[in-house]
Amino acid sequence: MTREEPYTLKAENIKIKGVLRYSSKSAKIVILLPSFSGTRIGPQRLYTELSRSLLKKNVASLCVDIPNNGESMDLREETSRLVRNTIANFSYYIDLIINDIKSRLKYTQLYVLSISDGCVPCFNCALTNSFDGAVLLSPNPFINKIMFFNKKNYKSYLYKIIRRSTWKKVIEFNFDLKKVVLNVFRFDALFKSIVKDINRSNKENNLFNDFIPVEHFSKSKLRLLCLYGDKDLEIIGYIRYWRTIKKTLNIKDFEEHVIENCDHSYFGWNNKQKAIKLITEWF
Amino acid sequence: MEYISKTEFIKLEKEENDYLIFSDFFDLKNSKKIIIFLNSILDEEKRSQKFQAQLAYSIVKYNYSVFRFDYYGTGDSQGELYEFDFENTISDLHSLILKYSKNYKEIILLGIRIGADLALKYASLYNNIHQLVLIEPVLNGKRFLLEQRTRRKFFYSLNKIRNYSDKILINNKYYEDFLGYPLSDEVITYLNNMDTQYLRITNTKIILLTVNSSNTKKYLNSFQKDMGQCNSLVYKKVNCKPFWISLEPVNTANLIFEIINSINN
Repeated sequence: MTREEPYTLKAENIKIKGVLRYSSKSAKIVILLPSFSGTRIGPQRLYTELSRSLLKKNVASLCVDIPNNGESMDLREETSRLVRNTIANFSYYIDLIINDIKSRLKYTQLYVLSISDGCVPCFNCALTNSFDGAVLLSPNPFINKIMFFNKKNYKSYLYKIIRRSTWKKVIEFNFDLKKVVLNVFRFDALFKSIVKDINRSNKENNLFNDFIPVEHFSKSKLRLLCLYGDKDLEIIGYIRYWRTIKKTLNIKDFEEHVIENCDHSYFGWNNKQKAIKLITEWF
Repeated sequence: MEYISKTEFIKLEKEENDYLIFSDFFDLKNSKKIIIFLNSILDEEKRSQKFQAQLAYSIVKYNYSVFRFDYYGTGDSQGELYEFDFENTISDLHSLILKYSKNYKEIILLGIRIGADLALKYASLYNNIHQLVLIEPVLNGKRFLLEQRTRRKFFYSLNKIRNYSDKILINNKYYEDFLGYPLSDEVITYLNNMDTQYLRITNTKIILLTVNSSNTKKYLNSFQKDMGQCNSLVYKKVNCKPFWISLEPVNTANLIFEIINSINN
């Protein structure tokens, strides 16, 4: 017997909403986490369709909205909007969900899945909570998103103008050129401290940022699946990073797949179906 | 305000087969008015979700019950994306209105983008709607399709995705793929024929709200002229970015304020 139920978690002034899908035979549960700006449905309803596909294999799933996107809310006064605190908040919300699942729902095998910039906090949680596995879609380990911006290097400005992602933004921001320029060059104070950190870490050739807990730099029993789209601009950086993680953490059950003709968000019906098939088969 | 918040899957009984619709209902005890939200479609639906949640929480404070649902084949409702259909959605809306608005004197439909056009279509078919709140209605389906097809073309071109096909075959039937959202021929035909100038609505309060988008003035002016003749029409342009296409969070406080202000006046 399979069921779909609304899920609500209330803690302090936080309300997390989602949908739980399970069957009476489910022993595994996957928590599907969106990216920072995503919702529980996922890009083109990817998460909803994936969770229904997993349900056919008796794998339970929980799709949630992370505050303050979708239906979930965080009304605490101290919630900050700075990027770093957003990452800390994201991890805090995941911890709340995991604690709730462990106390209320008795599943023996726990997995987590996320996409894009949700992957690093999601992977961290999987490590620190001894999850059985993690699925990372287009896993962006460079959460600050300003990889190639160096104030003193004027060539980097030109690079920013001519690269494809800048021109994509013209369409995505609906021809609002002011918005495009601000988004591309990011002069606002919010990102200044992050730019400093990138330049410092690039100088030290330090692949790992401070988001992977150092105590886990040892053997890991985690299963890991990474999916990429071959048209994703940063794919080489992603693959390199996660293969290094695999080696450092000695992850034995590591799988990676690259979907052809596919972008960062798996746009396109066929790409979405390929991603769902790969993930369902992995389970 | 004392209210009961019910998030649940509602069973709709249909001739061929029953199915479940995902819904969120703020049921106020002493309220005589209910607002029913109508979503947009494609990626616009997902990007409007936060705005809808915030608007629902705000409206409830002014003694309105709020009912929201995902259309069959979208969001968390049952059905596949390619099974979405406009006629079916209007029929579902009618069933839900009959079921949930028995205790209310006033029924208000609040539509966002294509949801606003659906609200207009419903109001033209049934005479039970007291007020329409239309947020940036599409007004012309052909233009909407042109916009979506242009975005798709740019997307594939800028991402250097080659050998893609707009037509996909699912269960021996062809659909047009809008970046992961397959639309059937019936839906495309409906959109091609969708033009609000052919709708007949009378004696209804219509609140029309637009934001800083590129909706053409020609359609807006024509709509105001047609609908203003037999209805009480209020038009407001609000300083707010188009949240249904934005990749980044949009501050919709202005729009929420104007909606509540307009409904209460």
